[in-house]
Amino acid sequence: MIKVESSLFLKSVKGELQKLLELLTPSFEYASILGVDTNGFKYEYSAKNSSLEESMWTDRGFVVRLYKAGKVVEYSFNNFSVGDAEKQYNEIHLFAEKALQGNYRLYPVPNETPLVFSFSEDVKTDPSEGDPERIFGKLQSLFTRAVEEDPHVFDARIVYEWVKVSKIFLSSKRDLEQNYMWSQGYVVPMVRESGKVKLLYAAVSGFDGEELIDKMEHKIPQTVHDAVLLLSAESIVPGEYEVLCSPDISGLIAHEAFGHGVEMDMFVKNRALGKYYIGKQVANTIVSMRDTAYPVRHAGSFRFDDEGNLAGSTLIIDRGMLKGGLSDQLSASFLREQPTGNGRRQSYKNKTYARMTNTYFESGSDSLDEMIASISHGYLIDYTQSGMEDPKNWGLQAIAFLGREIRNGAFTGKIVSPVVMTGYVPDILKNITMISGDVELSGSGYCGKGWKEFVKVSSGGPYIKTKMRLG
Amino acid sequence: MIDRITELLENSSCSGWKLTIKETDGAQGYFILNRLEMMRGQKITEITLTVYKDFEEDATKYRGSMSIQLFPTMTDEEMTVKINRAVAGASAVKNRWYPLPSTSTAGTLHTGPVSRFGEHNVLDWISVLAEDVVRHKRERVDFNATEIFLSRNTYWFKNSEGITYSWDEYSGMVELVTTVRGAEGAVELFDIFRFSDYSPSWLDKKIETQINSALDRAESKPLPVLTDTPVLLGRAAVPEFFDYFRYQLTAKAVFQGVSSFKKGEIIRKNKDEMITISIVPYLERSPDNVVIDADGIVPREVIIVENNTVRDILSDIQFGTYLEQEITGISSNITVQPGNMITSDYEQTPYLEAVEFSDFTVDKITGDFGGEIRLAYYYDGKTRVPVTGGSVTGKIEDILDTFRMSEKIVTDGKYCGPEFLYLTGVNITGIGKDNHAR
Repeated sequence: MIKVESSLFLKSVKGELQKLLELLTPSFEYASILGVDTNGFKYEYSAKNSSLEESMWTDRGFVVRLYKAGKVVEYSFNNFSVGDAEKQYNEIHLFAEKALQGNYRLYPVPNETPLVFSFSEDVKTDPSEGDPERIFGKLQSLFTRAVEEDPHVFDARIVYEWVKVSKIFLSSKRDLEQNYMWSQGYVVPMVRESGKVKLLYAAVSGFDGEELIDKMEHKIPQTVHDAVLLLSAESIVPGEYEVLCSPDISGLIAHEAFGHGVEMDMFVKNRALGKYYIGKQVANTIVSMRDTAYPVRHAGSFRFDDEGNLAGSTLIIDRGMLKGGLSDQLSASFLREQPTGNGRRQSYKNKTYARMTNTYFESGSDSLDEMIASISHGYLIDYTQSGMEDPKNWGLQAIAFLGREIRNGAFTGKIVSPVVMTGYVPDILKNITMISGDVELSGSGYCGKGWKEFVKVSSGGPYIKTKMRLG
Repeated sequence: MIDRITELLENSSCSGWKLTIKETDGAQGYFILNRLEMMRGQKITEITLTVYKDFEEDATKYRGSMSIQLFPTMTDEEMTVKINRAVAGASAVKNRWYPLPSTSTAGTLHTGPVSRFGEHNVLDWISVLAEDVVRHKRERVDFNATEIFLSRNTYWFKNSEGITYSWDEYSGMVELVTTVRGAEGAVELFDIFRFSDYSPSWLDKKIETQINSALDRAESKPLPVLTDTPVLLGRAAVPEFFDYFRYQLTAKAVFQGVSSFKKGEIIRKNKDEMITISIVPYLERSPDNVVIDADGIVPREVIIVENNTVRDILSDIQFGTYLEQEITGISSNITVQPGNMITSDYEQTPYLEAVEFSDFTVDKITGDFGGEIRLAYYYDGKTRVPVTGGSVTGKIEDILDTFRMSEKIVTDGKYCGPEFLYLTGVNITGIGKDNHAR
């Protein structure tokens, strides 16, 4: 294993950032600076077109946060080098003086304990210096494997993306640095029959380097098989059904149905019903749910958040009871709680919000076979398409690509697609009656707050059995 | 900066390049109820470079490319390392050769009218826009969270074939969360209004529509179980519906085989009400107006479907070249000719008018569509009542011949066309007690 290297750029300007902090400190009650240097490549191979581009997560710049008389302002900038501290101070000061004239909510200054911290994660193979031809060669092999798997496959997209993240956080009491890398890969077979085109995707992701590509091959047979099944899929008869959720769909429910509803900035804005249910039963007593940035190592992991608070693990639901939520610095201050280390930004250009990291249902004790056998008429739902939160009214909207019909405890072979899952979240969670043993996490996509503010997360869980409306 | 990067590129081994620089001067206000949670300022320079590398194998010409970000703080040495890395990366991308736009193919730059946002500093506009929102506050109605962004963006584009452009634009957004306190608790509706020019009357209309919808949602009943009930699809779902055709008729989708449409093909049999869809680079106040596309081509209006027949393909330079199509450039505003449906045509029988979804989506490849209903109106033939919950789902291919379009048109954001669609043969999943599995 090798350590993910520090950013030479951040190292080179750290002294100048400390000068800027010293210039800002006399004028403000609190000042902090987050420096970000993130880079990565995205490779895509398909029959007719390939591409190589810098990752959408690539980012290099800084954000200053300032408190004055309880008012909070921020300034994002990226044209800053050695010798620029005074010029940058003047620009920020000019903005802050004007911006602070508004009618603000007032927040106490963060109660930071002194901390100096530097951490670099390990990866097996660092792809940042990797030969593009070699990586494309690996993707081409996966492509060939996918198209040879079934004659219906007319093309396949094979995607591999790595992202290396370096961040530093500076305040009068904190000097933090972290460096880590995550990767994700997709296998997307495209199948055709009588002019009808369907596609499906399987994803792998994690705190990995180039070694992640090797984990993609075993996904191919099942994904191609299921994509071909979609060609004969029927529309589902709308109604309420017994439902088995795959780990992927369990994660979607954990994330969309409940995770967004316990982001505590939504409590402050009176946008989440969850604030009224702390200490109350919201799920069956067999259900527990967590959000863990550390020590879980997955796509949503980190060691400190974008406000300099250390990452940890939050027990959200404990045996059916809502225990607590996820907070950023401002929501924790307002609610007089300790921040949980969930303050995250899409980029140095964006604001921090309370956000999830790796969110999952904890394991149970049922076997998948027992769960299937227990269903009189229902569906096993798999392959996430999309989801949307509604924490104010606890409505769920989630869409899956595929449902397998189960009657009298056995699969009938009938496939339905797509499957729109809707319902009242506490009903869905209280109707969870069986949970399997193994937790699987998937972090192949990203999470938005509403329709923007994207951050990298993972979600998952074991198989769960519940009831939902399907359409 | 442009000259500096150009010089580095001229000393590299790339076969061609394009460079876009965007400078952003932005301000963002975040409000909880009527007070600021935070103000943010931005001064950011973003540099995107694509390098191309030509090579031959077995007498076939290929053109690889790689796109990278450069940063204003990079030294010449750092930029050179990254450019060389990109050239090496482009050499591994084996795509059929295609030309780059040159001065002879690029076209003349057209920008819209001068934005009113130019009258003040972006920071000053935040309080102006906040006042435009707050004045709609009334009894039972709160704006729990409002985010107001405005930025002035200055662009420079240059490529290796001699094209150079520069232009300014404004990009604004109001994210509004409207909460209404009803007898059975509070409900909210959430939306993002994006714009490129200042129009208080337009914003008033958007906010009033959201407030009225939230008031109706507060009074709404659960969506009943409905069978064989037509759906009137309105608001944001309509442009999303037509965006399926825009995607399917791009050269990229056709070339990659995920589109089954062909030029000259009749895609709809209904001759009483024919569809005509155009893709246009400019619509008033649209946040998606395009001055040039990603390749540096000034896009032209493209009629993709005319009187039910595929007339043209939206062609970027790479995939348009592969398909031997005229290069149209890529833009995304959609205009659709009106239909002939008026209220009296549909109010004789029950229908469900769905206006607000959690997130109405259309799968651009399969045409499957659906969304969870946040607000709809159910008309039972006598009365029209607000309903919520449940979902509407369907497939475009199943309704292509039968869907109807309103005579009345709207212009909103990136869309100008029929105000609503009338759909039969779609699934409505209600949440009434009789709605169990069958």
